[in-house]
Amino acid sequence: MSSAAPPLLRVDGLSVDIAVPAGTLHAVTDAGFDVRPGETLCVVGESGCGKTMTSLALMRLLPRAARIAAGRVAFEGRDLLDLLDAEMADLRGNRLAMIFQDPMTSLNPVFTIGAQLEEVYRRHRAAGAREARERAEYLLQRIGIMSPGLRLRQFPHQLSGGLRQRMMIAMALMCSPSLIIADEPTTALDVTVQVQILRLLAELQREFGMALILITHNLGVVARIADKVAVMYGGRIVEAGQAADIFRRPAHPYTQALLDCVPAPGRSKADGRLGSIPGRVPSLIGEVRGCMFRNRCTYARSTCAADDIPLRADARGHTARCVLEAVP
Amino acid sequence: MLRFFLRRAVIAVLVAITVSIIGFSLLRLSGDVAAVLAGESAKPEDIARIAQAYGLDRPLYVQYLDWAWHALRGDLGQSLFTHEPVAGLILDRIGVTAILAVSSLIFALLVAVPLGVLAALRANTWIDRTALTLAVFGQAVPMFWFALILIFVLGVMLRWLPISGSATPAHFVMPTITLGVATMPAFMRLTRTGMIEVMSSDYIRTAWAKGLRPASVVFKHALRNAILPVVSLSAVSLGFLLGGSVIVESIFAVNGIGLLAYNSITRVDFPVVQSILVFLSFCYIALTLVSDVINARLDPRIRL
Amino acid sequence: MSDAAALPELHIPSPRELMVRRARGHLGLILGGAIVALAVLVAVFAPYLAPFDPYDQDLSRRLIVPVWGAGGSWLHALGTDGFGRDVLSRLIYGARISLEIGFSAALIAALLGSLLGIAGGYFGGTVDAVVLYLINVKLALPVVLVALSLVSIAGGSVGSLILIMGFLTWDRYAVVTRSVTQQLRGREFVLAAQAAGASHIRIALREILPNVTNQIIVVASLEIATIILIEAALSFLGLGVRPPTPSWGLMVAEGRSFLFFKPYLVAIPGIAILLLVVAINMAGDGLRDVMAPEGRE
Repeated sequence: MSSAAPPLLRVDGLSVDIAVPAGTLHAVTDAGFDVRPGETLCVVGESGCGKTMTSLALMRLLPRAARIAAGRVAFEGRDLLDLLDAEMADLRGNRLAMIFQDPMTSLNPVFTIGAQLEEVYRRHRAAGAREARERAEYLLQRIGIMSPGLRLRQFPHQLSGGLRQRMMIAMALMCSPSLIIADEPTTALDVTVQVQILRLLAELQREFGMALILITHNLGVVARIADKVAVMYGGRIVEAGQAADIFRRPAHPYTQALLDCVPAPGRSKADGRLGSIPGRVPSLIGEVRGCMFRNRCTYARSTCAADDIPLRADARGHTARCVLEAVP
Repeated sequence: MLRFFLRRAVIAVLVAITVSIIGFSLLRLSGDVAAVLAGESAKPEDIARIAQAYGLDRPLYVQYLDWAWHALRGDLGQSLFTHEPVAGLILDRIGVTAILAVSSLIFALLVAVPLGVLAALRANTWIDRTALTLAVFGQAVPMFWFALILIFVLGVMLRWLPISGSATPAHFVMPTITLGVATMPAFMRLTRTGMIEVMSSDYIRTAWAKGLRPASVVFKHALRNAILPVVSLSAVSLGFLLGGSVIVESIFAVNGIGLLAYNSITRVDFPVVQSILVFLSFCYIALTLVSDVINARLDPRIRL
Repeated sequence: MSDAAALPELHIPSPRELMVRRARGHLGLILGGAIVALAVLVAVFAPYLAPFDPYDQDLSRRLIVPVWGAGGSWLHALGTDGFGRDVLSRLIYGARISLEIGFSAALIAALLGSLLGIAGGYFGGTVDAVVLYLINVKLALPVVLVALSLVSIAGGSVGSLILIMGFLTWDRYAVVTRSVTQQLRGREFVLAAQAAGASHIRIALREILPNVTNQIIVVASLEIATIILIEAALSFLGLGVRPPTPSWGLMVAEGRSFLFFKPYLVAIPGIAILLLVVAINMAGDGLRDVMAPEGRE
């Protein structure tokens, strides 16, 4: 991972708006991050913080009511937001692929697994049926699935959740993409299966040299595999940096509060009580000034309501959007 | 799979038997059948004699079993009006009604499915609203009135089509359009709702994420799922069309079962009426079973 | 906590709020509902609104065209029929027939169907098997043919038509209420009531019924239209309402012989049926969108 090489993906000032009856919901505001080849970026946050919308925006798969209000997404040298629909379709499943949260519903129930896997390959490589099937079997074997030939002939409802998610991973790998976006790939699975899937993703990533953007609300997952972390709240990225930095010295009160909620040896307080964050997420509808977290932040002060909260950065690229110089 | 169908078959047989009992008793409710047969100026002795001749003095369940026994052998009795065997009368006319029903269904589907897909893809636009308006009118327009309008415009004013009879294919055009227009709306809505739901499903999102072309996503992935309820409804609709063509057949003088039924009802020719009732019900029951089979074949989730 | 300026709170609307919000914007519900209300008013106040007696024949004034035709006048704004009867008056009284039969038969069907559906959904087991069997029997019967046969037996009075239609259109209610009841049966408030020792009837009335009513109303509003159409068809075929009662279907039948020269006799009552049914369907769809959007199929 040479620091001189240009990033595989650079996102700049991305904003996503959704039209709702009550007005405009700002699902994502001014998001920016980059990902180097082979790197793993974890996007963390509570439900509704905008992490899924961000990933959908990257793939240009936003629901009809949503639109990209601003920003640039540079991938392999091209701005994805500038492309025509057909050009974007050529990239999806090919150069960049996405794995979704719920494997139970993400596969088409009326087609065999094999048909769904092979179809991506044939679409992007103009390959024949046999070539596609061989590729599918090869991948299933690499993923450690027994009797791949049998599995390919089965239908989604005949597989367990963990197996289906592995199929989704295989599907994403069919055309050897350089970037995979995984939106909470393990949330819908049993805990034991979660670990297996994560391990699998990390292995495949190393082997195939792909970059991975993993979206999750589970800090344990982040600790396991992240190189970089971006913390989102209220549609904004409030803190970003190398994983080790973020865990050791969180620069934003929200990150610190999140870490306090998770029990960890050496970190948790002596009286054994877990933290929780009081209050509720504010509405994202309409213009909001100042920091989104201030109604729940222990360190909030009057300057937090001002318009431009400074983006503090240090030499290692650890950024935080906060009025505080450092979190006490 | 076998147990499932065995159960359905048993229920179907029970329903069929019940329907035959209902059909059988229906016209015996109209009062003393023997009196009706004997005529208005009959004397009590005449009525009694007729009752004996037709076996109408036996207990009801005996009459039913006798009728059922003969019916299973294909003997549905004789028309009181023409004295021809009822089975023959039905067989002569079933072809015409079947043609009418099938062509109406095809017409309805050819209009409804493309319209439904289009409306779903352009939901809440003027295209969608037009399609829904067409569906509203199709469901609301009285069939008999629409038939008369068609006759007036296409048959009389423009003289494009014949207005009566069932001799040539051209004779079937207006009846087919009439029945088709009434059948189309339900399918259009079903297709539309199904497509809207399917297009917003997770697996379609996956299809987009794979970079598949729009035609492939809509027709190969989405429609294949959304069409399942349409297919099963088709089989059931065929049953309705067979039974519901009375109006159309009588207005266009199409010589099918519906017209036969109507004439027989007005003439109180109860052997014919009860046989037609039972026959149509059996068709419907058989078609619902067919619909279940088709559903099981098309949807891999419903298997052994 | 500091004096930081407040952030807007997240507002989650209540079910009732959602319903009202949906209703206000719903053109179909408002327009359809208005027309239906108008029709009901016309039907109720028919004696005051109709310019003539609908049964009053006057052979010297046969087949006068409506006001827009040559020789028409405002005296008989919609013309007269083959017996010299005023079309507008017959139209107004026809509304009465259609709505009376429609609402009454729907009521009977709703009661019968809901009773069976709730019983089947609530008790399950054999009761449910019987209910399903009854529904299947009903579905297998060709409605129009059975209706024709029954009318030929029982005669075409409004009362018998109401009963016949009521007993031929209850299946939709049974299917819907059975499905909803099955879902509700497992819900906590029902289990709680059972645990508290409430009798089945009490549970049915107090817990299940209120939740099912929405669906029943939606089904009823759409079935009324079906019943009106069937009645019109029966009357058209001569096996419905008996002449000289002014049913719209009958008016079309009577006007049929004059179709080529006086098409208004067929067009006007047909349009009336069409408009009323469209309005009922729009209102019914609107009700469903507002009250029970989950019930969409």
